[in-house]
Amino acid sequence: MIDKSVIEISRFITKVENQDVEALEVLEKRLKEKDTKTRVIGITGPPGAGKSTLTNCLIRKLSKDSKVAVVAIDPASLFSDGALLGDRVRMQEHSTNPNVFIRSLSNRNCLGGLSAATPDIIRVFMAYDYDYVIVETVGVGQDEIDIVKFSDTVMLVLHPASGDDMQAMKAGVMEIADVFVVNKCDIKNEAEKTFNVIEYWVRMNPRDWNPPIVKTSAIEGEGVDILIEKLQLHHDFIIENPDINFRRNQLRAKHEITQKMQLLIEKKISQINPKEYDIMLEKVIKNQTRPLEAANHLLKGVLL
Amino acid sequence: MAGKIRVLIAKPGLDGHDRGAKVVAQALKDAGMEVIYTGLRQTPEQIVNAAIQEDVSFIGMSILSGAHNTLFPKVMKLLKENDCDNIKVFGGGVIPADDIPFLKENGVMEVFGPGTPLTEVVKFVKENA
Repeated sequence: MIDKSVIEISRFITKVENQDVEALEVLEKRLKEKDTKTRVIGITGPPGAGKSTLTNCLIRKLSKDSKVAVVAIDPASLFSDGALLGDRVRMQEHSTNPNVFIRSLSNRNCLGGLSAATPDIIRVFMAYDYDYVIVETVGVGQDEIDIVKFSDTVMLVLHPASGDDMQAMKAGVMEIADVFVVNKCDIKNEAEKTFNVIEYWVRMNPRDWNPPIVKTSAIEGEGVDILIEKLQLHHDFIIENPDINFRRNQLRAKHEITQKMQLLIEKKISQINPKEYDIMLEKVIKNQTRPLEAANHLLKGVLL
Repeated sequence: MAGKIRVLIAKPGLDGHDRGAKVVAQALKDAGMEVIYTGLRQTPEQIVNAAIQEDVSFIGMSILSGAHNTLFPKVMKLLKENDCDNIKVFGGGVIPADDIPFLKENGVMEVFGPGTPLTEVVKFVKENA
């Protein structure tokens, strides 16, 4: 028998993912009475770098004595809104482990590497006392960096030959890494080059926390113990230096308030009378009304 | 905000041919659904666990090994045991017509044989969502 709480969590996540306001209120209430110790680890990096395979390695180690949740995000199709979510393929060995809960999410065409509901879904696992939440973002390019607002520790996974130092210098994603990982280090020479580029970048951009660089070969399970050690070091560092995360927390709170305001406004928009909407649509098509004018008119009906 | 139809596409048992499963997964994706693909050689336990964690409305199983009469009923049994028989199950692959009534008796909603137009699978899922 599968634990009843798994079914409960799963259905709750669906409601939260669909941004059901009632479910979100329940969640806020549950968390209010709670001092959660959940650690959120964000894993990001370009497509094909080995994020899922590395996640799989982390689950293997961490789930031995902890409850581990994984939130894995893949992109939605811009044309159909559908999505093919394939991250589980690399994690199938854990699908019957009672300590592991894996949930695949579509980004639902949200930019930034996460879906709009991802932060709330992370919080569901906090409410159910998971020790770790590993969040695997969409394969990112240079600027999908929302993950930094919602993780305690961000791991940036790069693979050999993933770009020269110009790429490293311009990429916003480099700035959010707390731990760098050069995966596929079995490709030796290329891995060394990538390592050097990152090392140079880290030296050029000194911070209070200088991100370590770990070489791994996820497919062989190599380097994973060192990686876990470094994640722990970063965790200890933020515990000892609570101010360090002030900026991150500020970004997070701003993001959350804005997102929730948008949600509530969207709800209002959905209350617009469809007939009235169609009239305006017709007028805009026929050039009798301008879009801004139409929007103003429609919103007046529901916002005031 | 409306929810999306979520479907798990799974390959139970020991055959390693997943082109069919992937084609169906693509078609459902192109029809606007969220499709979770779990990879090859899954046990019924793995499939049901994944389906529950993903809170899908459908499980689609593709099987070409001939073990459908064992594996499909096992999935159905596990769903029932866990009070999750609200999840609808359909199948495909190479399944002899004579076996289909037995599978349906066991709760499999539909079985799609080789050559089924993709539109038919999409229509089935949409109509039963």
